[in-house]
Amino acid sequence: MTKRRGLASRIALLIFVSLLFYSIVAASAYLVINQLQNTQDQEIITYGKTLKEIDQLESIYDELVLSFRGYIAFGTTHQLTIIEQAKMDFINQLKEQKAKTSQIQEFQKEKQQAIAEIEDSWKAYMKWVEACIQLKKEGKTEEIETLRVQVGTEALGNMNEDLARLYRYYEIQMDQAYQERETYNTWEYVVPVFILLGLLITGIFLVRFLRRDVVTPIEEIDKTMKQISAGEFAWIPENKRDDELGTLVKGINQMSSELELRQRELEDSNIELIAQRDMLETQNEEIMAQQIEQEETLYKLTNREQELEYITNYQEKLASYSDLDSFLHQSVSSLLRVLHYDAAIVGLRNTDDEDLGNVVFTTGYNNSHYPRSEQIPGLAKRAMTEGVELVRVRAVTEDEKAIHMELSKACDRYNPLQNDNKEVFGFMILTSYHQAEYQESRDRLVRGLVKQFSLAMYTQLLNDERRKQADELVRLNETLKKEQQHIEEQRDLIKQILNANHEGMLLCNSEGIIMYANPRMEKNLNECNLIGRHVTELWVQFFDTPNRTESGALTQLTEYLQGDNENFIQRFTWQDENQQKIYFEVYATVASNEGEEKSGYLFVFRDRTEEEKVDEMKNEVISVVSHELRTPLATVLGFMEILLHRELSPEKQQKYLETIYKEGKRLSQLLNDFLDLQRMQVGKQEYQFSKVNLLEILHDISEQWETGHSHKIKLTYDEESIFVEADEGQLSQVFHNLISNAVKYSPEADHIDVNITADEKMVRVEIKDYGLGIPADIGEKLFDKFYRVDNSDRRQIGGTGLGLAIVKEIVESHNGSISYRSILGQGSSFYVIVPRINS
Amino acid sequence: MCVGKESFTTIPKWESSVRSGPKDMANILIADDEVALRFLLRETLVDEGYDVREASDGQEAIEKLTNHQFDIVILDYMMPEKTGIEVCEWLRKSDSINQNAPVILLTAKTQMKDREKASEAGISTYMAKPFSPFQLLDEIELLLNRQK
Repeated sequence: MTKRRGLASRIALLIFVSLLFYSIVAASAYLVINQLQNTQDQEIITYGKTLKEIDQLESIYDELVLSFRGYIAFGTTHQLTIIEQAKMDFINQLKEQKAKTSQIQEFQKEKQQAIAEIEDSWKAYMKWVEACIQLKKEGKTEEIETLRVQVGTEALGNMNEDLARLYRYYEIQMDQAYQERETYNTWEYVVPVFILLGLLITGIFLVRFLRRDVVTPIEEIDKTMKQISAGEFAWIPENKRDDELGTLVKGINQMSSELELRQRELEDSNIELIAQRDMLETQNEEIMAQQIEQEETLYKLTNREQELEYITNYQEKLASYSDLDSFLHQSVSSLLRVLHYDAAIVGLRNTDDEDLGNVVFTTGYNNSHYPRSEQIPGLAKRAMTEGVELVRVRAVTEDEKAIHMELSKACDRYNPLQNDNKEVFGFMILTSYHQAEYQESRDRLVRGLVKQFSLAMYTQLLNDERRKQADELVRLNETLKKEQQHIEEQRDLIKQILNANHEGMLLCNSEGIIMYANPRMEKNLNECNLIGRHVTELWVQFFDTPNRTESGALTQLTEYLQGDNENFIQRFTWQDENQQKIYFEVYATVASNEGEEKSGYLFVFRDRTEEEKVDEMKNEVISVVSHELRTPLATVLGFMEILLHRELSPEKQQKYLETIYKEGKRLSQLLNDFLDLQRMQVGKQEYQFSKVNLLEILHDISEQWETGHSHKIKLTYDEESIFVEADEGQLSQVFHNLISNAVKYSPEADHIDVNITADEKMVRVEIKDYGLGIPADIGEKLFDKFYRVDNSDRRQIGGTGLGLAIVKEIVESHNGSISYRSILGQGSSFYVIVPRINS
Repeated sequence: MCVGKESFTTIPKWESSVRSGPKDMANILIADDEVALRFLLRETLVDEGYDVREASDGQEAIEKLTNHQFDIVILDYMMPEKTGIEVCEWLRKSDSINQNAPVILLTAKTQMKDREKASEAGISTYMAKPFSPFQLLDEIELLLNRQK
């Protein structure tokens, strides 16, 4: 089977082929027109050329005529030559024309004829010309004149006429050629119009084709589909097409047939189902009848079952409750339900007093009837002592009447409660209002169930006791746990305290065996296994070596342990791994439990290294101070002694006294400075801060230094007022000391520069001298107490060595800092930087 | 040796028993960094007729000791560059002309430790500051006599 092209490709092919066809037609039409136009153009050019040549021919002829006339008139031979030349030219030209016409004879007969005529006229004219020339040469002028009248004029006329005709002929030809060319131009416009028409026609064909072959079938399919959707069975008229539409139509028709088939089947089965349903209904009615019968039987059974279930339920309740209250509540109510009793009391026997008992549970009675009292009813007592059950039918009390209105009698049943050894431990009273008569038939059931109850209750009571004990145990256990935790916490706390302690600790028993050593102790001795050793052993190993011990340490320890000595304090010194000296003090105390004799000893190793260092520093300070004080004192006393014992000239006396005065003042200054510094360093100095203008202070100080001193103080600054938070007196002392140093250590210079610079937050004061300078290796030591640059030059200059230390203290108390820069031999700059406050 | 408390309460009378007669122009080096103290020593000694040279620190003292002959050397303990003890130690070890010259050490340190150190270094006489100029003169006289 050949596969036909699809609808889409057919339409595409159709459009493509028609477009191709019109393109070819248009292209070939244009090619043809173009070719024709070119040919015509060529022809026009040829005619133009020919016209020009004819023009030339005429001009040659004219020249000849003119020359000829000239010769006739003037007889110059020169004219003859020109005539000869023109004659030749004309003949050549004419020959050429003739040759051209002979190539296309058929086409240009008229032209040929014209040329032949020109030839004839030419010959005639030339004949006359030659005759005239001959006559002229011979000098027969009259004859020339006669000849002209006879022949010349006519020949000339013929000649002119022939030439003109030829020219006209070509003119006409050219006009015709132009007209033809115009026609071709018109075609250029006509061809596209034809092509457009063609395309239009093709378009119309295409639309018609589509309408017939595509749209109409689709509309049909659509209509049919609508019908099918609406539930009808419809078919599309079959066509022979085997394209997409053909397939679609076939498919739809097949689907429609299928649907119809299914519908039929469904209808058939539906009929069958209705038949079955009818049958089932009949059966159902039968079953219903059977069911009613069964229900009746079941009802009978259920009553019995109910009773059994109550009993089972009751028995379950007997076993399943853990605490007494819920046991009683559940099991007694269950028991009442089984036996159809209405109220119950459960009491326990009081083993001490027969008359008393504990009512532990009541249910069903009016509250006031059987209150929970210790006094038990007489019948219950009897039932208990005799171990038998008693039944009493009595009149209903007033209270009971309030609830059970229409009843007048009640039946009480007194049951003793016995354990499996038949020992009575309590009683149970059951009361019925509905079955006032004693029913023997139920007696066995009642007895059996009550017996079960009493056994269960006995077990319950035992369990209860056991549970209480267990609870108590749990409680005790928890208390123990808490206590244990508490003890553990305390232990941890004590351990933490001991671990964190700076003192090493050793605890030993009364024999001197080490029981405990804290980590610090182990670290101190660099020894881990201390526990279990004897403390004297430790002393031998660590403290009784020649370079460590203080004599008699071991003896002292032994005496202490024996109780010969009450106090024990020893000091040790040794070197640690870094060769640093470590100082220890060991003291011991008796450890004893409350009220007991001593149980052991606690040795505490206290690290005294820091104390020792502080002591050392103190000693050093004292030694320095004493030296600093003794030196001026020696001078003062020395001179005084000399003054007292020697006879001296007044000048010498004066000089000595001056020295004494100066040294005395220095001594006093030294003491003041030292005390000031001491006060500052221990923080006892009281500063009175206020807002002060730094520049005012500096102005004041510089003025004081200007008068009576060798140096000028040059202040430079940008702002007139810079405020700082300061103690005015103390801050003044800072600058006094610095300027005083600057003056002292620049004996050769004549001025000191004080430069003040400030930004928004800080202000810096530079005190610059041009003096000795400070050696580079001194650094911060310069600010130490009593530090003075060791140089004999400087020793000439007095000073306490405390000035800069004081300055540093004060500046730092003002949240400031001090530093310096110096070049040896050129001078020093000291910088004081303090925070600025807003004005 | 020690001036003690007494000297502050009662002024001692100094008999010029030892320092009698004209001085034979002994040469003395005084080394002290304190200008005022040097002045005191100078005044004390020059008035008695001694020939005095001065040094203001330990190094200078060593230079002077190398270049000049002295009968007595007075050194301050606390001096820049070298302490009096160091100068003395150097002197005893050196082959200077003054190797065996008596040395008086002036010091503000009065502890036993310092004294022991001083005698080990070869100090002849140890004087605590403040000292009596006349006592110093007595000590010089004593040392000079011992030399002879």
